[in-house]
Amino acid sequence: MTKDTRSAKRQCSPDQIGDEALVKACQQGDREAWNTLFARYLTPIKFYLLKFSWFKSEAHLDDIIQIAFLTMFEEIRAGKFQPGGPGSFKSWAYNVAQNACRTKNRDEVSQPKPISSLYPSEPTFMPDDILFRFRSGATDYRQVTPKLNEVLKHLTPEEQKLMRLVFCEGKKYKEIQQDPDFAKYTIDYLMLKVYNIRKKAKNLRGSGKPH
Amino acid sequence: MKDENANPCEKYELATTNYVMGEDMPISKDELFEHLRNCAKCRADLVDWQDTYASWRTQGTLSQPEVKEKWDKFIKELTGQTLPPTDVKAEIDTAAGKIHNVLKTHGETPILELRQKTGLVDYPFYEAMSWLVMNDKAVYTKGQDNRPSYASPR
Repeated sequence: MTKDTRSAKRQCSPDQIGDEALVKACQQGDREAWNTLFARYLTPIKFYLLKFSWFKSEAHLDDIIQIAFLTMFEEIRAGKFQPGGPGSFKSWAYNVAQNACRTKNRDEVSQPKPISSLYPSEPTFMPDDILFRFRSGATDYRQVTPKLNEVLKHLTPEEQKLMRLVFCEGKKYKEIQQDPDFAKYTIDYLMLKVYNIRKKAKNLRGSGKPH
Repeated sequence: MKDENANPCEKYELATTNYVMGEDMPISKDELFEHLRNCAKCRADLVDWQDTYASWRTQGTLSQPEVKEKWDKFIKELTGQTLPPTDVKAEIDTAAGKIHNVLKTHGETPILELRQKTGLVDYPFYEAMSWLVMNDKAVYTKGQDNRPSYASPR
């Protein structure tokens, strides 16, 4: 650990140290800096992937995040990201996550099974590019929506359970139908339930702005 | 009689719900995107639902203790690896130290075995070996093919 890093650490809590200072500390071999950096970016990268990629299952997302973290670890050590250079660490991290997505997409596409069994329609991992593009940090996930727990308070017990299955466990409709409480419902009915939950959350927050 | 309060975009909002979640849609993707090209309200709705879904999934999964524990463990294992220095000179220096220690312990060693014992790849192994030989710390012995096959301490 260098004198600058030690001095910075004495004055600030780990959360207050900027990304670039953390990267410098990582390059000096500071393990605590590595832990802080990865813990800081786990949530934003997962949000970014859920928002912009086709990958919705926890297994796929875990693979992509692990690939991204491994890449970041190796490239920071090799000096491929230089703090203070062009581009922020945040943009670089999102770029690494994008590339990890593409790698995963390529691996999945090359598997000998029909794409329709993995994705609803197109084999590409990105939503339609005509309408919007990847924009790193376009929405700060902390400001975006009412917290999940706040919305849960306004739902019926059945809706709360459905929310937990969808958002905490990442289950699909067909898997939710395996649950005894939802076995009697069709997939269309589950879709309507989730749609109604969406509307309630939107009403809690106020109407959205047109893009 | 037509319901004046009916939402004309409801079927597209339902489709959007499933689209973002990765579920099959009640209409085709072409039909949905054709509508989205012409409807700013539905485009806003799509972006809003993407944000909401991503945020809730992230909060929902990462707040679970077993998931947090799994990621803490992964990060510790990743960052707990031995971190060699990042400058080339120091890397070769470290590699030379490893090779020298193995040679002192085992004596004359085939090159392949030496690489396996030290865990070093082409670079920095050969760079370090060159340094050791040039500084009289190690010696190469040639094999029958007249190429260095063994290394030993001097």
